[in-house]
Amino acid sequence: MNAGVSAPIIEVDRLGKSFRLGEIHRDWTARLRDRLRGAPRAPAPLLRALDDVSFTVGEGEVFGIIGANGAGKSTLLKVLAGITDPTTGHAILRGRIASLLEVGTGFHPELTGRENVFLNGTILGLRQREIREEYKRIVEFAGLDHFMDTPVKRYSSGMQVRLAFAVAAHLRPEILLIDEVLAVGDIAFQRKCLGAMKDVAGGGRTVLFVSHNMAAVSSLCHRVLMLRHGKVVAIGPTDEIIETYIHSMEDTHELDARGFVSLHSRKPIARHAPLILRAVRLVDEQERPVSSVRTGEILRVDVQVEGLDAYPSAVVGVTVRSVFDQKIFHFNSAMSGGFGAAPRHPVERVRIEIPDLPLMAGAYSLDLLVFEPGVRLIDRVDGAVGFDVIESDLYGTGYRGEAREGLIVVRGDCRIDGVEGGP
Amino acid sequence: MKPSSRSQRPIEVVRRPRHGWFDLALGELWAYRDLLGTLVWRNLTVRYKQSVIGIAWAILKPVMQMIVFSVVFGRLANLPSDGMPYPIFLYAGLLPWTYFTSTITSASGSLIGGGNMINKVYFPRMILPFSYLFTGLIDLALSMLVLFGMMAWYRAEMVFGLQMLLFPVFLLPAIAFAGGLSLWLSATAVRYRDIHHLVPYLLQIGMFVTPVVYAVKLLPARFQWLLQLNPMTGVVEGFRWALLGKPVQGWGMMGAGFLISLLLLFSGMVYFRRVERTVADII
Repeated sequence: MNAGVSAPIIEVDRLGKSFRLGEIHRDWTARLRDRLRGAPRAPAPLLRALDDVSFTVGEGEVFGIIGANGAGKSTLLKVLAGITDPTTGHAILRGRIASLLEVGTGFHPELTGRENVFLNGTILGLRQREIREEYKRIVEFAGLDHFMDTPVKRYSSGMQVRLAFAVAAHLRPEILLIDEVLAVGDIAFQRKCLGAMKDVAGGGRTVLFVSHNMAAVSSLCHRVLMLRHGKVVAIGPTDEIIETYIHSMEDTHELDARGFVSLHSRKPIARHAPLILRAVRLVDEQERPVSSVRTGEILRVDVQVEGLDAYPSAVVGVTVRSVFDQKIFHFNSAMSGGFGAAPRHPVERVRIEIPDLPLMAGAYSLDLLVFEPGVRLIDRVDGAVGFDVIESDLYGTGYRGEAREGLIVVRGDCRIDGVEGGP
Repeated sequence: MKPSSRSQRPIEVVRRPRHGWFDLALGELWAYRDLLGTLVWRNLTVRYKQSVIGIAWAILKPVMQMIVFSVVFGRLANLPSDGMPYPIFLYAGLLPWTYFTSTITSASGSLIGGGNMINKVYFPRMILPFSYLFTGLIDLALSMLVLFGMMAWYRAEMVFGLQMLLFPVFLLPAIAFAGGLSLWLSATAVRYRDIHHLVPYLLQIGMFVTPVVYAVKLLPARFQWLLQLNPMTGVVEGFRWALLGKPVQGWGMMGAGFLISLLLLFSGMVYFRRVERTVADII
């Protein structure tokens, strides 16, 4: 740490954070009773949100933090941002820090767009002078020139997000901590945010980026840290760690031992449906449950259907939708000529495979349905399971597609084919 | 934030568990003065949005209170006012008192009200309750205009002198006392929401142990010193001395009151800094 040049810009050393579980003063009467009786006081259970976390980030690096819900990603960011103190260990950050844990922190609905730019900007750590200098560019980025004197409560939620992100995009810190801000807004806006973040990343700034959106992590980050139950599971190159993450689905509680998402809790569309969709999962080629699949690979869907033995003529199908709920494609068992074998058990597992998945990287959802052809719909679950598509080197040239090129990916070929019009 | 001596980078921030008691981080408060300014302005703007007369309410509220109290306490109850016209005697006391109560009321809930910001961004949290100290001063400055008008009206019965320029001095204990209480109350309210229900009653009682609607003389002489230990007594009496020329008994006790409020402010800052460390986990 003696040479300023080689010292990492962020150094995290055995950082830990514990929370006492339970409500703050629930049961104080019970505790008082215990104490009067002289009973020993039971220690409150501790949750280790962060446990011995160490890593370093170099200057100019875009560093991703991934993990399931409750893995400690946001806690880590909050400790680094100074929002809450760690319990053990320490972290050194060498530079001016800005944290963007949500867009529009402190926005007040009664204030106008202009007033909120100043409010939000100073909350994020800008000086008023800096905001005045950047104001025109902020308004331009948000595209809201005519609304700056209107109270924000009259804005659509999309407009609010745009204004808020415009402020955030004009922060000029050396270290930027970002949490899931891309989870809001429409696709066009998400793209703009991603672009703005790439500018930040390209500008030599160091970025720590927490996200569930594997597509965004994959296209932005140089290195990734994966957390599970507050501990570091892996640190390394983005693709490698994302791969590890995809295969580590076991701690998502709604899944059973084999990775099936139960569909029991929903309201059935008909009370006495003879056929019921029970559960669904996605698997990879080694039959391991996954939550994402790469472009160009095989999408494998397992569906548990009850009552198929009594209705062998029923058809099971899937519909894939984009994040705007737009149907992208539908496929069902009738298209490929039935199930291949007659169903014999009360609950059958139906496997649907879609090879060469032509989807652009991003988040998608899957509807399931079962129907009697030409007669009636028997059961349907919209959005039964969500999954991410992760970009891959489909063309073998290192080219990675971007969502703005379209929703689907095609293969193709291109060559010079003879001479036209010449002598 | 402390500058690192060896690297060329100007800033090095260390996040670690804090254990000390007396790190008040005043330098950091200064570094965030722009945020303080913006919040003061937000508090004012938000309060009067969508109201027709807007900030005139800041003047109207104490004036209306003065009229009601003058009738009830001055005319009907005939409370003593040290030989001055009751309305101006009352109003000169009502102004610092209104500053005190409105500041405490807003500031004691400021951490809970700012919970969303606290959870998402780091800034010295003390800025939240402190912003209301300044918002209240702006309201006070506006209602002072009315007092000057009244002084002109009652001119014949007033004594004017250079001491008039001293009235801001008596605001200092009011600011320190309100600031100290706000820190204690806002930090405690994070854990115990009971504070929210308790504050209005405390303030109501406070008004009767402060000589706002009556003169100190109303009390038997041997109890007057108790009243004067209340820092707000010094403030109210000091205002009347500076602006209306009313003689003051017990300067010494007034000094003691000021010391008490300084002590409260300092202990409030120490306590607040302790709570601040984990406030984002609880709120």
